[in-house]
Amino acid sequence: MKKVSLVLALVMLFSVLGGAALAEGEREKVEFWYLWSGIEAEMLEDTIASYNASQDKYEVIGLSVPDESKIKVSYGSGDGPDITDSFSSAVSTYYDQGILMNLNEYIEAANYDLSVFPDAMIDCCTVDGNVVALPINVMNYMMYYNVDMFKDAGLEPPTTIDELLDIAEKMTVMNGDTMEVLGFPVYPYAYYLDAAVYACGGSYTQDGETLNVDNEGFRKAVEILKAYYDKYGYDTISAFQTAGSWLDATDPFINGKQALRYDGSWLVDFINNYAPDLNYEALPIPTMTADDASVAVISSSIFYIPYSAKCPDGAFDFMAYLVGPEGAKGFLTASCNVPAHAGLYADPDMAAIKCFPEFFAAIEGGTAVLPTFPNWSQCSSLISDAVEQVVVGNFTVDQCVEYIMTEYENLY
Amino acid sequence: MAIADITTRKSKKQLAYKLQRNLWGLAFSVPWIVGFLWLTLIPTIQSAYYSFTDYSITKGGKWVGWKNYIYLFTKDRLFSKAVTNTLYITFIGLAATLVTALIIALLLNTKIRFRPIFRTIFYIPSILPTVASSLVWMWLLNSKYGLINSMLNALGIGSVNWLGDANWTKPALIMMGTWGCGNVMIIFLAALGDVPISLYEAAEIDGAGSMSKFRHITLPSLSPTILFQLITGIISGFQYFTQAYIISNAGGAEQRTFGPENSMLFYAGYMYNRGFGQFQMGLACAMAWLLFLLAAIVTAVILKSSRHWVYYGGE
Repeated sequence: MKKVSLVLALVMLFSVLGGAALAEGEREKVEFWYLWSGIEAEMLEDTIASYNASQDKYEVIGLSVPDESKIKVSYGSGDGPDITDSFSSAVSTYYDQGILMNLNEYIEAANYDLSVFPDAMIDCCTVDGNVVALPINVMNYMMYYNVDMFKDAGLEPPTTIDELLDIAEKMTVMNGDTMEVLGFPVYPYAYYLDAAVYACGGSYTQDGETLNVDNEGFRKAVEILKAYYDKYGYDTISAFQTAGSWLDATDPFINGKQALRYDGSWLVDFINNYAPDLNYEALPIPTMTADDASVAVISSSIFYIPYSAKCPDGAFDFMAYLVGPEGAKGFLTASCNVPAHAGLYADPDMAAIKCFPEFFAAIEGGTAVLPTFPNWSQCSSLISDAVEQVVVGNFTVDQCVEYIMTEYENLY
Repeated sequence: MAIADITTRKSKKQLAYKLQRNLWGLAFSVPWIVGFLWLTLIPTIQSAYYSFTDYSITKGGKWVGWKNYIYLFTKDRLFSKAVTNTLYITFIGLAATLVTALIIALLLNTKIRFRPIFRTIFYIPSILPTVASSLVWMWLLNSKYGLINSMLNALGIGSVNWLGDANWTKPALIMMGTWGCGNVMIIFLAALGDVPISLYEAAEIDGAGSMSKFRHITLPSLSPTILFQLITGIISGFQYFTQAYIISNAGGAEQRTFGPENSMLFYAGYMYNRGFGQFQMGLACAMAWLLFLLAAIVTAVILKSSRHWVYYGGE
């Protein structure tokens, strides 16, 4: 018994001494949890390895956590990462919850130049004058079109939203009750509305703090959507939408079954993987009139330091590297994400990616950001539900607007 | 005097032995007691308190009284939808599962060839991971490429938009649930093995037919098992989450968060969304307590009614 106690005591002693000895020369550990997985996660791991090799003060340990709720739960236990990512739409909610660390102090201390990012992106990352996150990419939608399909039909892609409906109907191919080719950019369902509302000069808010969809741009975008659904029927379009899976080999645009598509730059990556011979191009989202400049509604993947971070200094140092040209380039190029850092706009590798010049031009041509007030995600669900009732045929556009404005008052 | 002394000493010794034995028992129970207090009882009490607060994971709770409960019943536009969907999947889904499991159990209780193989085949779906089987089912139910629609078409029936039509999403989920009824089936099978053969023999002498034997012998004999399956099925139905979460989220941007027209919005998923999606932990705790109350009431009603339809062998 005594011998066992002695052995245990020695083991503990060595553990403590061993730990102390390790701590002496060891680099501070920075826990980095990210939402990406698969190939994108591998790219991020390469960036982490480059960072770790570039300095000897911190050691970043990456972990792919695709389920964001796990990250949220970790804050409650105080055992979360030192740095992690989310989307710009979540910034104000997270700030409101006290999750985000204020980065002003770090930015000043490091003399970090924020002007390298588009103003709209920094606005997304700023709450109450405090910069609480940094963006790595710019996510905006463009109108992709299948060049061969248009050539065969002898049509030009639309530039106005009225033309969009007209051309979408011409490009739609039916086989009895089954839709063979989707002409309208309503796959993926979620991307049409935001892009169309802002391109038509509409918005989800007038004052930046409250929801308001009672404007011409919103109504027009919904009316056009309703007109297409009225023509082909909700069941027919829905059956087409659920047949394919977004961004894989069954994706209708990738397999040549969709003429027009609103999507982000990442689509290029998936086309490269699944259908490298697809003949397609990207154009700005159609506007209300041909004279209007298309407004790109943008959002971003952002990195932030949670309040519970154990090594915030290291986290900021890594964050600055990660969103900077050196750290971001490999990851963004490989995943076909448009960079937020202006230093990468002129990079020849970036410009060589298909459709990227069009994306850069769209961002430079004028941007708007989705609302960032704390209950935006609830508002977004409310809008989505109300518009769905329009396409199903239960609401008129006016009823939709009225429903949204009424229910907004009842949000928690 | 000496006898009294001996008796006292003996009883003291017995007392000490009993005390020591109890202490040892307690010592061995400590891990469970600590776990129960720390991981079950205290969080339960805390969640009751949080349900009356506007709880933030970083700032703690701010007392708001009955606000969360009142909000759910008066202002929450999706609460009633979540309750209705959950009641649908619980009661219709459970009925389908119980009936299917019972039929399969009855068939597998007959003396057929390769019976162990059939039993294994029917049991296997219930041990498959729910996430994996849900993803497979997504493809089986695909409106264009799915095997189910191909089979329907072969029978001359038109395709069904299982996951894109609000009227068909819940039947699709019920079909998935019924496919995985192996656990229920195996318990029925065990219960069927316990039905005394003498009862059937007596009934046969009295000239009873198959249906009559089933109605008057098999069903009453299975009633305690049915009661157990009913209660556990209802409780797990109220907590229905994984399949709907996987199917309505796996498709990415082309899908709605809770399926078409929120037809896959179930109570547990909504509670999860409120808590971890919207950070409304106080509201989510209130929802959890309402669910607990509902489950307790339904269970009590079933137990009360069971006196009229459950028959125990010993009675």
